[in-house]
Amino acid sequence: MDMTTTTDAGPTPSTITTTILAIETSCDETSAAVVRAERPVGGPVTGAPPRIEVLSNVVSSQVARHAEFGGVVPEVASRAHLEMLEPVVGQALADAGLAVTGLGFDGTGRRPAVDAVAATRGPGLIGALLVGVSSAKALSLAWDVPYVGVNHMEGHLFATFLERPDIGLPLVVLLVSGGHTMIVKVDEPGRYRILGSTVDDAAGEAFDKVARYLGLGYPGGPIIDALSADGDPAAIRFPRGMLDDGLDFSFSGMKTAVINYVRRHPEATNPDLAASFQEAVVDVLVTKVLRAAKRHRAAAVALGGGVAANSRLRQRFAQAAAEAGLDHLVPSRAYCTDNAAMIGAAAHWRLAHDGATGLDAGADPSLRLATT
Amino acid sequence: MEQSAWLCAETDDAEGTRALAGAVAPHLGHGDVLVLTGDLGAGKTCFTQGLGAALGVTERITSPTFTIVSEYEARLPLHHLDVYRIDDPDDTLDLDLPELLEAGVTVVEWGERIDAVLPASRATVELRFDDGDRHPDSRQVRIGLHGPSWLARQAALARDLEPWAVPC
Amino acid sequence: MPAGEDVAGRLCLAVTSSTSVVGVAVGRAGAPAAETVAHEVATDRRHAEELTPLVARTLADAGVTLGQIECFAVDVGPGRFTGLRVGLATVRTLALVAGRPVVALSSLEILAAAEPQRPVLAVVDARRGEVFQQQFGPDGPEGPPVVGRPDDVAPDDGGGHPPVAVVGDGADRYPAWYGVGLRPGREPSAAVMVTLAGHRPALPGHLVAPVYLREPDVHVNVTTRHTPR
Repeated sequence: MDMTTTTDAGPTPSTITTTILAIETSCDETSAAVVRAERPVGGPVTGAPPRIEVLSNVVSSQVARHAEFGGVVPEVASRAHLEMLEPVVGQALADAGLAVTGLGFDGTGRRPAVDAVAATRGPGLIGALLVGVSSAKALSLAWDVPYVGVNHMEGHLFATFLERPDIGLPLVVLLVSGGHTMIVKVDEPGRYRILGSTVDDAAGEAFDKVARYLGLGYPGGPIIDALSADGDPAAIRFPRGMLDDGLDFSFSGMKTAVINYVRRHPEATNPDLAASFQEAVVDVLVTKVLRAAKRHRAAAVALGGGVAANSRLRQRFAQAAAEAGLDHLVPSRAYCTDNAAMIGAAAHWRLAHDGATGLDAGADPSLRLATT
Repeated sequence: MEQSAWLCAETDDAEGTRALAGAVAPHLGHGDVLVLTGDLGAGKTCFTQGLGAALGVTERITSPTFTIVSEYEARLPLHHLDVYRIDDPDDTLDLDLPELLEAGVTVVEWGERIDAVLPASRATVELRFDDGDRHPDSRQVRIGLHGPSWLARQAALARDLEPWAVPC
Repeated sequence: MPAGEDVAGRLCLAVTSSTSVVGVAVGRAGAPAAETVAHEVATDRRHAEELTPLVARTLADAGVTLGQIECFAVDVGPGRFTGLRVGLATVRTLALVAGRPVVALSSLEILAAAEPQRPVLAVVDARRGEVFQQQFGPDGPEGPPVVGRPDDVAPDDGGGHPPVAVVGDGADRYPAWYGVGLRPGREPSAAVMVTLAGHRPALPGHLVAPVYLREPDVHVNVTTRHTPR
């Protein structure tokens, strides 16, 4: 495979630089990014996380389009991805200084200095995934560069390395989003173990459903986060699902507890309900990730996924990790929510480790994280 | 002509709802569709977990709200749909439902929202919080059998659901 | 609606993926189907897996590179949603890279073009008991495409004998309404698309959108209908 664009000066280059255009369309964000990383030539792929330079990371959110439906509508998402992907890719190339013309395409046979094209192949909404995968494979064919299909969850894990390539290993990551809640142990890139996960609803989903039940609107997470500032987190003692029970999560009962409470106490105020529910969820999340870190002798802990943008979770997590004397990362919000930079980071490692993905690969809405 | 029959049951808690669903599983075949209705927290995912376990799903069954569809390998493949966020049946076109419904068993949470795109031959499962003074975990379950294929299974289902049966 | 570009005689790559067949053809826009290089693959739900390799294979068999392609044609439906997304995303991206225009063709007109007899009724399976249907006469479409149940939209003379020739997988699925008039040609042909592309205007790729024929997208179809012949 030839993907050399630039090498170190001198007769015997010791590293190879790979520039990857990455595309993320698994849910309601259309995103494209250009990332660049070096790796040794010829040598084995080491366990150390790659040092990734993010040249651009463009995200076009569809949240406004879905808000009126109270959540992401698959058909609306797919159509919006088809509409937005070309401008977003063009912007990502332009921001990275790689555009051949304004949009990076000029039909002259020249092409942007990109060594590979990557896309999220799952998990996610099937129609949404297909737009990104099909476009990435077409770019791969047209530019004659490798295609790399990336697991979205592995992307979230690599978001940690974008900001902290030096973070201690083994690393325990709490991945919390609208579709997932899991604790993953990362021994090194590519070697993962799922220590715990939800037995019913994802944490983000519980936020969405409680917000919808209380008539607060969509998306539930940010709304409950904001509303909680005016409420008393100790006003109502909601149950902490499976708090003393291993590393798995259960949020369905907590959601039901809010509903039962409101049925019996119609006088409860929304800020108190929001703050108390959020506190219960954060309690469980923080307790379990710290328990996992201790039990599995982690060198560091990190947050990832859309719910990691929750301000109370960020605050309580940082505090608890510091008290436990653990190296930790609370990622910047842009790398918590879905973004293509993290997909590019994972793609860089996958390309070096496994090589290119075949053009006969599709999308898999139920893709699982490969574990060791 | 409308061809429907009803079976009514009551469960004490989430475990009971799982067990009841497990008793329904042996009566299922390829192409069967079950539409689950009930308020948030009524136990729809719980019912699906019991059903899936009895079908031989070894993976953990979690709420598919986010990706709308989850597929599980089992004796009969299980398609678990949650269309909570979908208000218009046309919004399901993206899912290529007809192909999905053909093979295996399909369970649709909040299925009443996309009634028009689901087959008329189906079982409906209504899960309701108990209105009376019973424990908050108790649920009333009303199973509707619609169409000849489901009506043919009425007697056998009634027999297997006997432990939870209450008058309709 | 821009006027569009005449691409007759130019080297064209055509893609159809609106049904259970994925097809790709390469040839001179307007040339007879027999003069194109075409491949097709039947697939249930694997349009994304099949299409990109099929494009590569068809280009290789035709002995041309993507850089030599001067225009594209794409089947914009109506048809299967996921298939349409794969086809549209692929062709729009290829066209953008190549800097070449795209001819949008409806699945119904591609089907009709494969059948010499006129009038001909093109019928595409719309699933959930419905079909997309449009009739074509010697001078082109006779009325807009419609979506509905066969018993509502089929031109029935009382005994399942439509008074016209019929093509398409929708007709195949409902023989009680269309069976007697049925002609070969279940799915849109990419080779026929190359021929049609010589007689239709080509547009910048980003203006080419799928035709859903479902609310709220019925208006999208107007652009197709008004396309000059």
